[in-house]
Amino acid sequence: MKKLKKLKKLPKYILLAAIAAFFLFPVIYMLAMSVMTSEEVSRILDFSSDGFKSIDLIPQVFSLEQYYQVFFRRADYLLEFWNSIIITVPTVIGQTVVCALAAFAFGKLEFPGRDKLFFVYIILLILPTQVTLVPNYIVLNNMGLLNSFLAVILPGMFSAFGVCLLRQSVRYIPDAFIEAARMDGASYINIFLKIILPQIKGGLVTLFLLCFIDNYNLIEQPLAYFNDSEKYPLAVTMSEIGVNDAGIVFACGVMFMIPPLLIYYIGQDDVSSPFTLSDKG
Amino acid sequence: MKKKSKLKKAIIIFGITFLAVVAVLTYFAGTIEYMLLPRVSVANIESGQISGEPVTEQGVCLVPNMSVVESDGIAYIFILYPREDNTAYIEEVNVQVRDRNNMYCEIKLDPTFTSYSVVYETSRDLVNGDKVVVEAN
Repeated sequence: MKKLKKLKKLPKYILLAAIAAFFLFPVIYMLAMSVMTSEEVSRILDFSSDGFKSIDLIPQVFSLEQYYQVFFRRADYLLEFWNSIIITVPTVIGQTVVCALAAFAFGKLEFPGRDKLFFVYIILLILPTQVTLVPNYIVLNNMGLLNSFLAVILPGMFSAFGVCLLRQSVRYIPDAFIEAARMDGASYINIFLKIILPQIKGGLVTLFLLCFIDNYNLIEQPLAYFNDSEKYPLAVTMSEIGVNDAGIVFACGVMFMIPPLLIYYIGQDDVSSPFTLSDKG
Repeated sequence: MKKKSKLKKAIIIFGITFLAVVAVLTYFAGTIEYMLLPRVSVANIESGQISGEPVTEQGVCLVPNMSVVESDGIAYIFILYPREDNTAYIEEVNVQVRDRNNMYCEIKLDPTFTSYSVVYETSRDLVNGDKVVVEAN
């Protein structure tokens, strides 16, 4: 009986494994290409002939040449990796703080025009980044912030998506908690820090992860706001690496994906519950 | 549960180590790169002929014998584009070998390159576009 049940589940597992392999293929391909020699990568990526190109996942010669190039010979890639971190970390921290405060205000505080203001804020969600690029450029130019990391960090801190996400989390907290705290004489700051924040931990971690990925992969903003190519994050450079350096792209890709993977793993338990109360006590 | 928290701890340690290693490599990138660059000796390209007769044709010059690399019937030299920090980029330039003696090789090359220096000795095989450290002139 048990065996029959297991057999019935087999097609489901095969289907799931196939879907997983399909989605993981780019990552596996990148890992495989990163341990090939540059000659082999160039040969694989040579699309000049029209014939069918086979996909080689097993290197003819296992080589760490690409990693050697990235970590020891091409310091510019390491510097760009740090540019990515310098842009991403303050933006993510800033965005999480700003969104949490805004979500608390929009979700729990009563003030005139709250819902209308939130509606205006939501409109920002609909606008694509490219639309706000030029107005932001003009504002940043007037503030004298162009060609500095702040040009990307400051606008990045104010995300309508983050406010919407956290507002939903905040709305799940019963009003009675806040009323009770107010009756006990707690200030709004105390309520925010001691009641709201612990209960929206799931939402905060989810926002942190999504915001990290979003800002880690920025391309348009650095290209528009930085004149100095030394300030470009690795995402920009990786999209511009030529055919001669094709092999390096894959080693850079592996290095580039480590921080988001680590952050995801650390926060994955909370990601599954952004709209449920985290503080069970 | 215990296993999971152990794995989480290991991942955090790996993350911190990864960032620390990348930070160290970035900080010492200049030094590491300088240590790993091939060392080359260079000489100036001089106008002249092996026979000692005055040069009548543009682009005919003398370079050290060792600076001319021949492969598959094609001869080439590496010329230098110096930088400020004792390093240089090299470019492979095809030449036509006309004559040679024990020390020098008479070559004909594009006249635009006659004022450059040429690599005649290297610590490692060179490839077009390599960055090198210039040791002696």
